[in-house]
Amino acid sequence: MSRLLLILLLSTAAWAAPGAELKPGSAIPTPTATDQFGKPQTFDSLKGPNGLVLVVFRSADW
Amino acid sequence: MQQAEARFKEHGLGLAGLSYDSPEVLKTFSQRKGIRFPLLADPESSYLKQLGLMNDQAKGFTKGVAHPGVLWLDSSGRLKEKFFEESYRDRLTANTLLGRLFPELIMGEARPVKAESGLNYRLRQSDQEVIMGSLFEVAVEFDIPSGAHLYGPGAGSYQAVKLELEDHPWLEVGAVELPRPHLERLEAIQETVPVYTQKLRLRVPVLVKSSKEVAGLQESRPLTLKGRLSYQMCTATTCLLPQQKSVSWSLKVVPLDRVRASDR
Repeated sequence: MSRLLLILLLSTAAWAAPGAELKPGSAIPTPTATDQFGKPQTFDSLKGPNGLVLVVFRSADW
Repeated sequence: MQQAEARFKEHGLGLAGLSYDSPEVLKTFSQRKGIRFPLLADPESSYLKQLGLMNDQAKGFTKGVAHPGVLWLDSSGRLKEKFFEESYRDRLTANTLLGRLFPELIMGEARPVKAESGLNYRLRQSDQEVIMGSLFEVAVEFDIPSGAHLYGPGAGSYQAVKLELEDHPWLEVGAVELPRPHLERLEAIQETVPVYTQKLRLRVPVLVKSSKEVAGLQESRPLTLKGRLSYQMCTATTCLLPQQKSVSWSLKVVPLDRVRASDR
């Protein structure tokens, strides 16, 4: 009984999973940013023939 | 990740990091870690906000920080896959990630074992070194000689392929992933049984648990994950005895790097 209650509570939580709006198959905003070498980068400068893997991390500083 | 960059390149994938750090902080970090692939600076979190990946709850010096994860974009900028673990402590290792992006490929080291009557198997692991929170993978890969088969679950009195891993206080061992066997009619015994032929790969995801002990490591520690592999090999007419083999994988748990780039 308490397990059912827990499931109900979790499903009604206001918290949404990170990146919930990013749907596989759809176009997403592509990056335009300066890298650690001061070089401006865009999706075209970063991608390979099969695309780009973007590793989003919290911080290099903690 | 830097070692994995060569592998990403082999598969035609660009690789870049992204965080809310400034280019200067990222520069110090990349020099210290020997990272040569681009680390994109998003100090206003503007790109992170566009992606919906900025953590709204973060306050103080962490304000604007990202939810960590991985995005895989195809060459036209469409999203192919995303991996955002619910717990920030669970980090896919680069090799495990590649294994999931390209399931036909397993990255990492493998140790071959010669078994009986032409059967061979390899013990593979996605990583040699892991840190707290890493999600890595171990695997057993069989090369089954032609004319022979191993059994899948539900094979009655035959010993189905089974991998049982021992507990380790630092690890959380996930469920063994076994492919679906195919059904074969064995005329000699007039039975239809679930079997595996030619190649068989069992995979197990393993998590390096968060614990005070692992968090407090000052230097690398070796770790051995042990298990027992059971199987029985038969041909259309004869069976070998069921087998049980001890298997193990050795890794190193490396301390978390806690030195702040801005303290250097």
